[in-house]
Amino acid sequence: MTTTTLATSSNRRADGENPATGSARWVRIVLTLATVAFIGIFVVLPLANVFAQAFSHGVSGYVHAFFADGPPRGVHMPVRERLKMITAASQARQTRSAIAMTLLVGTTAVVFNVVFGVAAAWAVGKFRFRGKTLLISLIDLPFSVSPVVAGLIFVLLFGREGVFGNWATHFKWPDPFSIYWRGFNGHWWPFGDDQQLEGIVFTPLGIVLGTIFVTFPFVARSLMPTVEAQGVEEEQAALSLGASGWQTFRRVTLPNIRWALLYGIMLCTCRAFGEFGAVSVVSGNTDANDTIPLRVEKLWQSYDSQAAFALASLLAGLALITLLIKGVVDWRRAATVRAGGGGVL
Amino acid sequence: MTRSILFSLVAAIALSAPAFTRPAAAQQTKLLNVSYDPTRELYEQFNQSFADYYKSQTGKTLTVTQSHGGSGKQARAVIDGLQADVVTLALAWDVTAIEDAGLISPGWQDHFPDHSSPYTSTIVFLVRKGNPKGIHDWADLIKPDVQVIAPNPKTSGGARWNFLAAWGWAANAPAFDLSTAEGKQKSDQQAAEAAKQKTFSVYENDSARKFVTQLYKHVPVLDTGARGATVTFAQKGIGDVLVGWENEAWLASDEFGKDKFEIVYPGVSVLAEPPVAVVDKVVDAHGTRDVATAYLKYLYSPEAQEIIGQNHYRPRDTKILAKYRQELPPLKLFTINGTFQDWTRAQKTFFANNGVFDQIYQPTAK
Amino acid sequence: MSVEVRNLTKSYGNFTAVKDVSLVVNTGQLVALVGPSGSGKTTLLRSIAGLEQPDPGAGTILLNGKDVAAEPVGRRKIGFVFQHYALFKHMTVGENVAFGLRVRPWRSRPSRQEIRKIVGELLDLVQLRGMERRYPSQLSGGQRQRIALARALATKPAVLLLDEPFGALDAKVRRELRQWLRQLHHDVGVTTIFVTHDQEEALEVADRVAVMNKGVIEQIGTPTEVYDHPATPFVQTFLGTVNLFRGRIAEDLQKSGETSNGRDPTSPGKATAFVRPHDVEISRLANGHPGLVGEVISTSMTGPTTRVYLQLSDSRELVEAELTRNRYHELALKIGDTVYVSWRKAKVFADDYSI
Repeated sequence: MTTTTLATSSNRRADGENPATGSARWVRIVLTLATVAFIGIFVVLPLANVFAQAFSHGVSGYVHAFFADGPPRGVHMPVRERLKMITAASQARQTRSAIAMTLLVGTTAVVFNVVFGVAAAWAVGKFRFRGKTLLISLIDLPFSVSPVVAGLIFVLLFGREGVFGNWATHFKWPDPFSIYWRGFNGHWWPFGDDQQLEGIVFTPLGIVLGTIFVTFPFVARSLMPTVEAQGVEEEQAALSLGASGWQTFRRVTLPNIRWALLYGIMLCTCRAFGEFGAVSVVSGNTDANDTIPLRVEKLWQSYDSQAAFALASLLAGLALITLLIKGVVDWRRAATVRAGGGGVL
Repeated sequence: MTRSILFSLVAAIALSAPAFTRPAAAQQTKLLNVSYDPTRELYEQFNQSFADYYKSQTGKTLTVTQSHGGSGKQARAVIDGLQADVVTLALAWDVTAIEDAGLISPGWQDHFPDHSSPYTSTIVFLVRKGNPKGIHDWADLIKPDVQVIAPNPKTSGGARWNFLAAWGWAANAPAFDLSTAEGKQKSDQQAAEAAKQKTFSVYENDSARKFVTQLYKHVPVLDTGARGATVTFAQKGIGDVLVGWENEAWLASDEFGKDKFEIVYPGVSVLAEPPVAVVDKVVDAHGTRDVATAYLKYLYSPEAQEIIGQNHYRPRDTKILAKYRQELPPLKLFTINGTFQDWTRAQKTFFANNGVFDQIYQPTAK
Repeated sequence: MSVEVRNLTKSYGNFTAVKDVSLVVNTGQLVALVGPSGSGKTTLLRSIAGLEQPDPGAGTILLNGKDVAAEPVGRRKIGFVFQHYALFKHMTVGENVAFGLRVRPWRSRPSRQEIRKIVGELLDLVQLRGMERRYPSQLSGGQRQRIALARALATKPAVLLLDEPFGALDAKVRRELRQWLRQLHHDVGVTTIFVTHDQEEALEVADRVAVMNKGVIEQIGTPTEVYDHPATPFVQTFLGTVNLFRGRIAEDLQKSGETSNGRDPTSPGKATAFVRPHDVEISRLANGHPGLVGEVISTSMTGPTTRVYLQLSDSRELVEAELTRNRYHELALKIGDTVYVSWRKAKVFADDYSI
């Protein structure tokens, strides 16, 4: 309530004529124009260029970047043409696999970071303990470590010559893309897998680790101020009214932090999908480990800039969707505050 | 609201596991080929060709995954645990490094024909259309207003070939036209003699050292890989001349049109022999030794040699090489064994920490 | 349900908030824990609720004679009202009140209609019928307080614990709510313990008052007992203004007035007499009483009474006296007048007592 009133009154003040300074009007116009120009040059123009380049060969060219057919079998055609089609089909297949990999890695990282972030924000926000400041600094560490170094840390830990090299290089786990439903007949575990992967770095697992490392501050950091401001009283009240720990979390804690959580998830998702440095090191440049940003670079280096931009447009699209969600979230929050729900972010 | 967040999370997880209800497919054979930077297109096409061949021979489906990067960096990744079944790198030293880590058994150079090197290449110049700076041979690279684009010899295999080519030219290394039987014989003879020698004056050659020092003063940025350097030159439009792989020069001129670039062949260059090898430790663990060996052997088949020629590498098969004479003209080449004895020696002298390259190269920015 | 605390100690690091405290509250009583901030009253309340754990092995809490050490807060059948109400901001008033019913396990959970009925009744009880759909942020402080009470009562607790229930309210609302709380307690009859730092509030509302200081209960008794017969100098000073007269027991003090039943007045040594302002007597004449001489410094009118500030001529100490308006007019005091001071009633403590 209060916030809204304050905002309105200050808006009114800004809108009104200021008789003391006659120049207020043109100052406002100049500042606004400068802002618009700045955003235009540094945000809108590059973004528009991404889409322009992505569609530079028309819609069919755009689609071709993701779905390209190999050479028809049994049809005679010049060697060079045939090889070009093989390349295009293989490129498109790898692009699709990079999208799937990004979704898998990003989602896994976000799920982990939500669990970790909520736990960390909870611990830091609600309890006092020795070494708390140190813990907060450690949570912030990925912000200050270069992502490439982050990737190298995992290579140094889990690489063949690393600290846990012996164990890690022989660590076998199922390829998530090969997991399928085999049912319960005869098994207690209903999932089977066709493929096993070995090792940690240079496999999707390494990519997940690298991504989690560089993204873990996002959820925790966006939750901490809210959780801290929240205090413990509402939760204690819920407990005293007979709610279980889970009920308290689900019905009291979560609704209070939902906007902050959503915001953190959004930041975390964008970064997880867009991470390059850390992932680049632990991917071992292997095509099967490509995420969207790695793939964009490879396409660019294969002189296929249209396909690179087409793929990049997906990330740009994600950014736009994030912007949209943020808009809706802000609007919803304002609405709740106006209604008196007090959705404090 | 919370319910919808939970729901979307669940939905996202479900969507990201697309093959969730797939029935068990037949066991697929997989190979990982760890290669150097410019061979992307070559292996993309070769892999398809080999997979078809393999299926026709065995009925099994084969998936080959590629990994490309600076040759030295790639070797490092294999040593660090990248599960490469085969390596197809830019130079023998990088394979030797993997051998030293105990992953490849010694003697790998004798497992396949031509020192396990199914194709060769050389170092040429790529200049902008019309050759505005008049670059025709190595000497022209150090003209005052020439900017040279080349990758970093510490990470890139191609860059090390660049370095050796420049050094060999400046040291007047004897070169031969290897497309003729006579030239080949002379070259082999020279290599055999070199193997017996203890000291190599070429490493102490003052004019070579001076020339190479000068040359790297003309390089504004060092990319980590050959492809990065090509992109810098061709796509970003930086520099007057790209010193690099013959195949990279051709690829750039194919991709961007003949009206943009010209390829300049210097009077003398180096014979680059990119080696291939099976990574013994990995194939034994994966049980892929047979398919990996077949894969590399197939590189010497006529079909593969054709793909190699199409991608502007020089096929070992003389008949197919002759077919591409227009694009891959004969020129005088010196070999690493004839001129520098072997890669181990060249690597230690030139590219090891505090080697010649570290002594002569200071980043221009500082 | 009765509440009994036995030898409870609770410390935070080096600081001992509650020291070996024992307390018995009988079923249906309304007890106030009163004391200055930091005296341990809130810690004691939270320990009873189970929101704090006593130091290991230091103390037992019995509800209806049963040790509840192992019972978590939700199972102690207590209703707790927090100082800042801790209403669920994202829920409506109705949802807040219904919370304790809705989180019950499925089998013992009342039906929707029943819940709605109970919420309605409770809102009637706290005189906020029709507010179900409002959000806490749309209510005044006093309304929020009453919703917090209704929410705590919804689960039919056997004990109601209130932490500074009126602490955040302005004076007028506070006075209204005090009367209302008394009435509510009378109607509902639930055993109630509340914490306050306001002695007036404690004396006005509670059946019994426990005065706490530095982690211990100094005295527990009815409001009259603790006010009129304070057991310690702290209780005396804390429950209202007092004047201090220092002197030697049985000599000066005896001379200057009547004594008390607190400490043995015949024991030798230094002692202090505590006299409430309304027990101070002022006269123009030394009419037989062994009095002290003082000078009028200032006067102030506070409603029905008038306060007169005096300075004693021998000890230079200040004395506050509270006179009825009639008496004040009778005396016709002016600033600078010299008067005689004595008291109707005093409480004497030997000086080994520290305040």
